[in-house]
Amino acid sequence: MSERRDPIAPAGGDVANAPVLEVRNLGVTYGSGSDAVVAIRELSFSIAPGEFVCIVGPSGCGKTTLLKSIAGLLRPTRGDAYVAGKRVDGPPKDLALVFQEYTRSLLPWLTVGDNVTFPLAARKVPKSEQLARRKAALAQVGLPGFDDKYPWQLSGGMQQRVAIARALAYEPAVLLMDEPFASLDAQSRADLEDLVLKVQRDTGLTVVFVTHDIDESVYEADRVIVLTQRPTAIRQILAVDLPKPRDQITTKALPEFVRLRTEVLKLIKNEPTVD
Amino acid sequence: MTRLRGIAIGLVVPIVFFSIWWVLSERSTSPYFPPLRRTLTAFVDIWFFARFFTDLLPSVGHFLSGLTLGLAAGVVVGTLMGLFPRFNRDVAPMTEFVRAIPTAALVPLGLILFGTGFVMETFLISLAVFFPILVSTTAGVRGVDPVYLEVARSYGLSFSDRLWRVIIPAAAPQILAGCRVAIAFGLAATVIANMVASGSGLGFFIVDAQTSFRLPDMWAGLIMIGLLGYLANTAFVVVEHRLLGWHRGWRGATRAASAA
Amino acid sequence: MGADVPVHGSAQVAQKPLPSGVAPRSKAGLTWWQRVGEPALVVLCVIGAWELLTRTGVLPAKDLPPATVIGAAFIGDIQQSRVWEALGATLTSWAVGLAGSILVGIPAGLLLGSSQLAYRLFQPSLEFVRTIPSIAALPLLILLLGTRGYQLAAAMTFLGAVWPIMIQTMYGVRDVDPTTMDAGRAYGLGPFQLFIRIVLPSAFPYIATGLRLGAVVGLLLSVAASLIAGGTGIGFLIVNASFSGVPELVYARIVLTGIVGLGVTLTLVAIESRLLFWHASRRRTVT
Repeated sequence: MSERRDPIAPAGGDVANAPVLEVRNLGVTYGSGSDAVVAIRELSFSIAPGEFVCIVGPSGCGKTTLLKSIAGLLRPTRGDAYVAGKRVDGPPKDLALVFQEYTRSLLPWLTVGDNVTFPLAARKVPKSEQLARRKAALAQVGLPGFDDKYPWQLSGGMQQRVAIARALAYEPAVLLMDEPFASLDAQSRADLEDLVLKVQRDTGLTVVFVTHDIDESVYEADRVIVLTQRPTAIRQILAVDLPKPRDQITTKALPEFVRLRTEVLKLIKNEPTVD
Repeated sequence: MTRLRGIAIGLVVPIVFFSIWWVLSERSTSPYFPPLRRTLTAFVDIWFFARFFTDLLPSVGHFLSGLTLGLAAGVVVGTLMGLFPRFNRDVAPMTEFVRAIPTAALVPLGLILFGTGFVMETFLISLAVFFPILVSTTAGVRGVDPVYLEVARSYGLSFSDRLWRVIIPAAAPQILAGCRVAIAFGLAATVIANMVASGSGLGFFIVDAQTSFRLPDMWAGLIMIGLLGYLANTAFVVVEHRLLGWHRGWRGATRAASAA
Repeated sequence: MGADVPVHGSAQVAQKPLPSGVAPRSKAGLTWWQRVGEPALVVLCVIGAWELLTRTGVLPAKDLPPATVIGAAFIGDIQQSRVWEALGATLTSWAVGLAGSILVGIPAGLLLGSSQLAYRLFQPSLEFVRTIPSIAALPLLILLLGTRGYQLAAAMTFLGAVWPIMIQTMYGVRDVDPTTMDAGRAYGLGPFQLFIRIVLPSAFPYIATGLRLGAVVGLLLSVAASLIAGGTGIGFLIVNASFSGVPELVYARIVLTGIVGLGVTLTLVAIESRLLFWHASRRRTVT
């Protein structure tokens, strides 16, 4: 089956669109000497502005490690990541991270509103602008008027919406999401998948979405990066040309969707593809 | 409604206790257990009039100044020990050792260094307060959920923002738990300091009343100390309630979640 | 919660006690020098600085004797039988008082925790009583028991230790997981069996904490009793040295008391963690 376009290059292929996120020869080794564990062997890819890219891989592969290197929470042993053209050296200003552990990533002593604005307050963003951004962000995730609630008064899905609102209010160039819906029930999960797609469509944000759910990756992404087992490398990058806007029922029933998810599954299970 | 009922039920035991005490002691001829009526008369005479300024106020003052000093020092040093594992390892042998010395044994040391009076008592009380706060603050700061710290770092918070916006609030429940212990220790140290090395104060008063056989006075002193402990604790609970409203809700929510 | 939190390489995070499910790296990651060498060196430096500052007169040597002088006094002192007799007296009173508070505190706590009515009647009063410094009862106990024998210090120990033991036991019984109880009932355990096989083991971590708190507070009060009232304990010896105007002996005996206190604490912690190996991560204190 011939590809419609080169999947390695960013979608769009426009020369003016310099990659907003680039990973070059990145490798991570934990420990040293005989105890050394190579988590990531070597990875390179780049992502264009406005792209939605999912990263999937077998469980235990270095998905989270890769994400933390991009987010500047972990210094890679080799190679570099670049966000908006700047080398990542500590958490980049143009990037916001949404964690998997929503119960623990929201601060329980702050209200929903304060959870959204505390990164802005720490950056000395003027109060009025903080409020405006918070209002917009909470409305975008479907939680308008929840400012004065505490996160633990909300359901898991709503808590993760607050975490997404916090990331949106930060106005990043890249939104990184680390298995954001892995601990949610199926219904909330579908709702939030659609929410993220809608937000991405509305804002044109670049989203990098790490997940272990193959359906989710194909459903959400413009491109899917499939990783190998440890020591991690890129197994393949697949373009997803499913029509937009996507829909939980019709999109997932398309033959192309089924073909892609089968292909990703086989790649992860390490079987030869039926190309 | 249920809260009021809870309070009412809780009051049954003290009321019964004091009633029995009143009735049984009324015809008591034992000098050690004077009638409660006489003790209460003495209580009013002593604490509302004669000894208010000479014994009660100084004790309360020493307690509060020692508490403030010990709290501040405990939170600062405990935060440092919690933040810097190396510092923690290096000073822990010394803090653990001094912590193991019973407060009373340090009274002679305080006497040698500071003589009698305000400085010595404040020193002793703040030392008694310092260690529970130190231990709980260290544990609280070390135990901050690593995810909170990663969130703070990923949003580029500076060190001081991380400290004030994340670490201290997250450690607050533990620090306050230490406060509760510290208040009890501080009050005991106040009484001990008075007893051993003072010509005034509550502890001195009850020892003095005992040695000069003014037993209703001694009982009045005992009741006063109990009352002070109760007031200090109540004040603490009020403060804690205001500061940690979120914590109760959060714990309730996480417990309910893990039970489900 | 936090079922598969990955271990990550950030040193700042790795040294914190991580939630369950994360491999403990903190202890194993340290070298001998980090665990023992450097802290020991710091202690030696502090003692050395003390020596230097007192010898050179920066600190008043009259009130703060040099470390070596205190050390010499300490070694001289522990060769005398009276110190050991005093220590023995303090520790005997402590042990007797503690045994008494266990005999009273644990059954009372079990009772108060098992009955909803008893709990609601007594819990507020107990919380009140525990805020009263037990030391305040000393003058009364002096009248009742005199100052000569072991009884005064034993009674003080009892009074200090019985509350934490009782209260922790009570909370322990109340915190038994209802699901575990249901499981027990489902397997047909009777009330007695439930109590022996489920309630007691579940409450045990709390009881252990109560015992440790009670033991430490009890020791404090045992020392305080002999210090304030005189008599036979180690506290009296400290006061005695103070009255005789021998500061180095005061310091030496305080150090000795500290060593005993530390010994008691460490022993109890060791026993507790050995008995609670199955439960170490869940140990909680109710204060």
